Amino acid sequence: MLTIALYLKTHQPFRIKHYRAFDIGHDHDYFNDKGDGNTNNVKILKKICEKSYKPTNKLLLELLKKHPEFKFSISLSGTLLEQLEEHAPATLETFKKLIDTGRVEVLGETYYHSLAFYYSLSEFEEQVKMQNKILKRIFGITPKVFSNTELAYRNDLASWAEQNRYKGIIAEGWDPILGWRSSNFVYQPKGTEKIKLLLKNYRLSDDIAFRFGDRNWSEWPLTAGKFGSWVGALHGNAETINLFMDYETFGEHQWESTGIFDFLKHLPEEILKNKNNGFLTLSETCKTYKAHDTVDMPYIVTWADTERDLSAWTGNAMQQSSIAELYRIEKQILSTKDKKIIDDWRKLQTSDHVYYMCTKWFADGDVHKYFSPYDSPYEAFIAFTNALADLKLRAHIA
Amino acid sequence: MSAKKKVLMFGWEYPPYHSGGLGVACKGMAHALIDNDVHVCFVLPTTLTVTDEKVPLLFADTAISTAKKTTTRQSPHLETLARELYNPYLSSVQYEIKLAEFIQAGGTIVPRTLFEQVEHYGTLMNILPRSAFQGVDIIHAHDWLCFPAGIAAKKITGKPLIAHIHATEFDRCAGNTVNEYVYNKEREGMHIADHIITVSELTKNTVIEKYGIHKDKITVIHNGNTQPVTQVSNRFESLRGLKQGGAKIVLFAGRITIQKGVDYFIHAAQRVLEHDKGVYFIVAGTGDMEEQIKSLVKRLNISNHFLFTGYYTLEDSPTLFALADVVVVPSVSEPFGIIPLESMSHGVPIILSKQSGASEVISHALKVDFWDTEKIASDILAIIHHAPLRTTLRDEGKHQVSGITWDKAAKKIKHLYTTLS
Repeated sequence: MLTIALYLKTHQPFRIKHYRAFDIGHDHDYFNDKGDGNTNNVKILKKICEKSYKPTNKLLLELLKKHPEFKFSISLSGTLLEQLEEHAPATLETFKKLIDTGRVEVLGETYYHSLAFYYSLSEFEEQVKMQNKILKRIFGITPKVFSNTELAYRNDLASWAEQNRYKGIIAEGWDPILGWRSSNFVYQPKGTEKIKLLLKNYRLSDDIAFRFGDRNWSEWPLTAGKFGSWVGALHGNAETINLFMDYETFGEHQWESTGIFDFLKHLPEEILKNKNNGFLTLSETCKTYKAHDTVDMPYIVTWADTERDLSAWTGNAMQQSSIAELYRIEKQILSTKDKKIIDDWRKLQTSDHVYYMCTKWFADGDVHKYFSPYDSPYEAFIAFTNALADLKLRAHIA
Repeated sequence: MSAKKKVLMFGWEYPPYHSGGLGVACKGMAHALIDNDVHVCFVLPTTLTVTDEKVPLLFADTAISTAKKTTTRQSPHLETLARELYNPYLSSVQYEIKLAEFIQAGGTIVPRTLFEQVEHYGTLMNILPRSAFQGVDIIHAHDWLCFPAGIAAKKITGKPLIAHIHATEFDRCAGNTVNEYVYNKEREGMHIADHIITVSELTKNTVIEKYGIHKDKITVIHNGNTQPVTQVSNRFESLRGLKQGGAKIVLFAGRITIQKGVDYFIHAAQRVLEHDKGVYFIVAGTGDMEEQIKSLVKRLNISNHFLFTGYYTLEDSPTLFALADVVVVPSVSEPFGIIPLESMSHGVPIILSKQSGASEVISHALKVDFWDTEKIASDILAIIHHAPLRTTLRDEGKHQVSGITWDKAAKKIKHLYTTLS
């Protein structure tokens, strides 16, 4: 048996408006840009709903109805759910419908899509709790598999997940760490006993997520049939193919005109043509297969860039100082007991803010640039730092 | 392999005598072309005591070539006056004044106005020994001042003419009425030229829209960065005390003209000072708006925070830039601009006008619309108050500017020569 574990991860941050030095002390709304620019969160959300969420969910629901064997997993950050509830309730309903089929598993994560695990365990746990709460309230579910922000994984995260009764955790299937091992099996994180580790098959995942619309790619155009044959070729040497990607792959990163929806439409039938193929959710995958070996990741591994590390978030002085300052003021922020102040501080923890400050995008291609609402990493830093300065004033922090 | 190309290049000024970027750019380009195996003879309109270890210079008025020997034709005083006459940034009125001084001091010159001088440069081609044109493959003329000379050389040799546009009259006037004569000279040169090089996409668009040139006749070749000088003056040493006392220094460097947007710098400064009294502003350079700007500073009551250095030389630059925490380049209309690259080489963060050609090759800068003094001020405060922003801009900027070289520009120019001849 060979099963596909498809996991679609979705998230939207609260982008900070172009907050200038002169706004400090006067304007306490950092995320309320109403203009035509790319920091208008409502505008961006509505655009993504139209281009990606709505058509994708419609298609996925049809596929679930058509193929009883089709299953997959998703995750939605708390910051996205919050925005959907307020500005796009109809789209949120389409997610609910998917989950209500019982064949779409929702993964656990941090509410604010933060990297808090690596900076403050108590803050991280609070954000996971908040996420579990909102998932319970909206979807009525409790997650069994944990997916950290940007797949930022380390051994101790797996230990934490095990202690907190998760059945599985996911990470990048990065060859330099796997060595001779293949991402197409289930593993045991080092230092744990029961929890399973699922590793992203980044080649097949990225064929869809990154290369699909690239006309210079030797395999272009990628059809569901061709993809199905690649999967078929792995029989005998694989148990699970873990396809992890952004939800926005469908319609946003890969535009409709690339044929991405048509690809998705035919993917289940092409996979299921072979009777020995199937689909499983991530927790089912953990349950179905035994751990083949132990995988040791003592250093943080992410799913980003060629380095697969945190350098896109913490690579330069601006990013390092922003994160350091954010967590330096944790105790003082929390001691204000002011809900709005604490919420704003947490919204500033969303990893996107420091990602926008990444300066290596000139060498790394256009991936970062495409995802940044600012003209430059410097603009991102200024908006963030000025907003943080105002927050500190509100909390009377020197 | 084709034979080594010989280029007759027409300029108007040459370092160390400069009051703007034209001469510096010409020298950087000529050196890099020679390093790329192009034979360059650089023509100047009048004989000056300039030598260049690499580039043979030819003075059109006396037909003296530095390739043979160096001569001084005039007394040092006359030499200075002659140099001032060939400042490409003089208005025609200013030219008249300088010319009067020159003649009073005993100088002899045939043409009486800047325009006559430009025409005269062209006329000189007819009396230059024919040997000067021997074996020439390409004529390359920099800006309208050299177009009549370039056109004459094209007629004599029958070789293709490249008109290199470093600035247009529309940039110099920054939205005000253009000088019809200059415009016509530019237009004539561009139309007669076989090909046009502009220093930016910005300028290319101006050439298409305002001069009616077809886009296919234009190649954009961005300027390179000129290596920092080795000789350093100590002129601004005294200001180090201010800095050591904790003051933050914001620098404007360049000609004080409408084109450079210095008035926006002043208004941004006023806004900064409302929030931080520990900031000082240096205006380095001279220009026709100097008095106007000084009185604006006085009127705004911020003179205590301003220093006007007057004219500064290349040798003054290193200390000047070493003092600065941030350089502001609020140009209203700048085909390329030499200050941004210079600042980055010195490791100084820049706030750069989007209306400048250099902005097309620089990403590690804070970019502003020149009129948005609120943003300029906010960005100044951000750079001054946040060391990580300064550090990142400095490190990334230095790295980026090291890749913006005259060598790259020269390779593109050389390629163009090959396709034209």
